[in-house]
Amino acid sequence: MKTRLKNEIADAFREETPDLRDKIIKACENEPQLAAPAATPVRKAKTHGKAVIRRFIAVAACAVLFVAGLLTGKAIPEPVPTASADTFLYLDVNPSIELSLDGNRTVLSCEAENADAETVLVGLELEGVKLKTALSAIVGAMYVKGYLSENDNSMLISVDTSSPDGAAGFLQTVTEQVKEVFDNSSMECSIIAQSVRADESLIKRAADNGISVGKMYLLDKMVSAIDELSDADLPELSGMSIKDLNLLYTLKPEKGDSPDGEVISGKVNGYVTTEQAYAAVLEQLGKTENDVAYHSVYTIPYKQGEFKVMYSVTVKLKGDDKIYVFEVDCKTGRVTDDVSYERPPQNGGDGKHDIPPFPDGEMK
Amino acid sequence: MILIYAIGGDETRDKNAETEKLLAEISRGNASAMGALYDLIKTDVFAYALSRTGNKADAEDVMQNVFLQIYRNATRYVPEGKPMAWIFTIEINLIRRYFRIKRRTTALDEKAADYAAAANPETTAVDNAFLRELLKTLTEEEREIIVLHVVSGLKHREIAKLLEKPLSTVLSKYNRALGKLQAVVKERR
Repeated sequence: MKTRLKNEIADAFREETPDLRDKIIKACENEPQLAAPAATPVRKAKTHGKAVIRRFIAVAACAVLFVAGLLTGKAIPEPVPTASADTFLYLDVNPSIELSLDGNRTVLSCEAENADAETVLVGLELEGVKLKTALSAIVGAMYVKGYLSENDNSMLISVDTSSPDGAAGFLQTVTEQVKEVFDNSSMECSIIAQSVRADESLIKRAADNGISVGKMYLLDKMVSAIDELSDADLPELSGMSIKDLNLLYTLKPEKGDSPDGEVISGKVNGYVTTEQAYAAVLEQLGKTENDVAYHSVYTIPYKQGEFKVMYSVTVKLKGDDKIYVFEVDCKTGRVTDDVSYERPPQNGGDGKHDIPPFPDGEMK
Repeated sequence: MILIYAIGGDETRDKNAETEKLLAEISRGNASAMGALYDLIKTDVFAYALSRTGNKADAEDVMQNVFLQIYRNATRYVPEGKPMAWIFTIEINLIRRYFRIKRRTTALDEKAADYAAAANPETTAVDNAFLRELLKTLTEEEREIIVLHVVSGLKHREIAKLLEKPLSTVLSKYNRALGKLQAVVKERR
């Protein structure tokens, strides 16, 4: 009887299974495959002098936070599941974590949005703890497990709240709490903070792209604000780190399309600075600052196979009618392009403001 | 979550071996291997999704996403002879996300409707009459245990590990579910 019943069950499911073969294969054709992960998160090989001390402080502080997170989680009983979430908080480094909170800023749930986040959350039981404690534990765990370093971090903080207190105030509070955690651990972090309003469509699209709701929202904003980006770039943008997106994001404010309650703080470390890019160009030209009549540096997205963030450095030399435009790789500092051209016809001015039409971007 | 997945009978062992081979091919960008994998495990993936969502349209969505995620992450699968555990883990995570979307949409839109209503078996468009009865009669927990054991051939202890439930719970729910279904069949005849 049991065997017959089991066969009937199996047959019923088999018959009901839809034929999505072609649809799925077609969808896979447009789906990028992820690169195989490195065996362990990469850490810097050498640290010396002050860096060693600084690292020791960071390690010690984060280890305390991490252990505190473990202990706190275990010491506090499971929350009574009657409270309803009025706020969702997304934290993205590469690990992407979603926290839901009640009106008292107590964590109701903590979900890993990707495999890295699952690694971070192993052993942490944050349900029922206060947000600030949870943030400390998460940052500590990210550091201990190699996803954060002492001075080269970027984090995206996204808040989706229906709280009557509003998003902007809460966003500011969370950002300050995260900064405090980093400061107390002698770590530096560049933070992008945004308020989001997640509807079903956004949540689904985030799931389709394998990223958090916060990152999806940020990418949507970037695509709509930066001319060089389109929806077709979303798969590639989805794979970019928050750090790379942070630099690319510097293009955005010039477009005058800031999301509500947006806060950007901290500088992006680990890249060539605009000053260094300018110096590299001067070296390429064999000139010094004294030879320059005018210069400007813009950040631009550059797509050739993959997205790169580049500096476009424009230089006008004294006594030279040519305008020199170089592109400098933000990651390597390599001067990759040189497009020099004759100065356009003058309008009777003194030459100081007769600059060519620059691409939209941030002037440094 | 790390799952320990003991291999069951010959059929399950063969399926695991074949699945692992196909995952290796997919990770090397062999698109035709994706079709072969679909043919091999489509019922496992769909049945589990249907058992959890109780809704055919949503189960199809989950099914499609599971295969996309398999394709996307194939390079990250570490061959250990446990590909079905890896695949079910992907599916469980996607279903968790599915419920979260339902719950969130309800919470954020302040709709009074309970998300569970969307998964009410009454509202499904399942063609097979026996399956409709099964979905209506069993709880979600009973359905997933039945599907994993009867359709995918997992042993009870494997199901217990996968779902992180005590073996005794899995066994009692499985037997209770079978009893309910036997009653349904008797009544029908």
